Amino acid sequence: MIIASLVFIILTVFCITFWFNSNITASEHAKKNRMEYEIISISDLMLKTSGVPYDWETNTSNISSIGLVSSPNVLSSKKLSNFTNMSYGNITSALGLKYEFNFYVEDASGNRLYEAGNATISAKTVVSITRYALLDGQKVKVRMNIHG
Amino acid sequence: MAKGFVLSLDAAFAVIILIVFLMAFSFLSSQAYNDSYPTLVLKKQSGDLLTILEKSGELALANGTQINNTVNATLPTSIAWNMTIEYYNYSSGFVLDNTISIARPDSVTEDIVANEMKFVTFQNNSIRYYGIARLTIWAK
Repeated sequence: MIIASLVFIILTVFCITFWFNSNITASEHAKKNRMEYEIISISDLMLKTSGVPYDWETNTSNISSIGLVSSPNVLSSKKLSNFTNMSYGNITSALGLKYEFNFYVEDASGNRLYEAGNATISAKTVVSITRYALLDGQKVKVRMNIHG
Repeated sequence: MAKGFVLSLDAAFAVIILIVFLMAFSFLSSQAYNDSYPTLVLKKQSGDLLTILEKSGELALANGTQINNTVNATLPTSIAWNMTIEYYNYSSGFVLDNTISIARPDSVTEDIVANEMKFVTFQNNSIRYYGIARLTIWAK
């Protein structure tokens, strides 16, 4: 009877632990998937559209959507400059971003030309993307991390 | 005594079957998660690269060495690639005039991504070439 109870308790603990671990893994995967979907969408929005309105950089209080290019993959220095000068809260709100982010544009030598967001990453899940674009005729890398 | 032994054996079998079932479930669950994100990023990057080659006018110049240098300088060394650019003239049908094949080769992995861009080059306000650039990239 004692042995049977012991076996039952061990099995119950094992099953509960296993179930919780499976749930945690599944929710981590789901969160990572959401973040990956979000960073792909945002990087597309930034590099393929001018934003809404298309001249949002002239009035940053009236932004529906942020785009950083004058034509696909051709960055506008004026849009970039206004984007990086916006407050963190305004950027996340305009991008509809639910996570912390860090954004920067660097040239071929690795010099950061523009930067925005929170570079201090303390979160467990981090998703990064590097995209390529032209800025004033030069090829640049556009990098973004989201973490949360 | 015999009855107790049979019951214990029965319980032991049940425990073994349960553990095997849970381990199989765990293994299959872990296999089911196939992260497609790296492949998707490669797809986006190859599209970006073709766009900037076209926008910077390098595809129009048809200089294989220059395009090779640009792609090598842009993509990290951890990525292998090959590219074919075909230039066509049009005179009662498309006639292949020039082909550029360049690469940073490496053994091909499973997650290989191909992208294609059609473009037109101009000279003296008239069309010089109709072109197709095909870029294949993969992580080493």
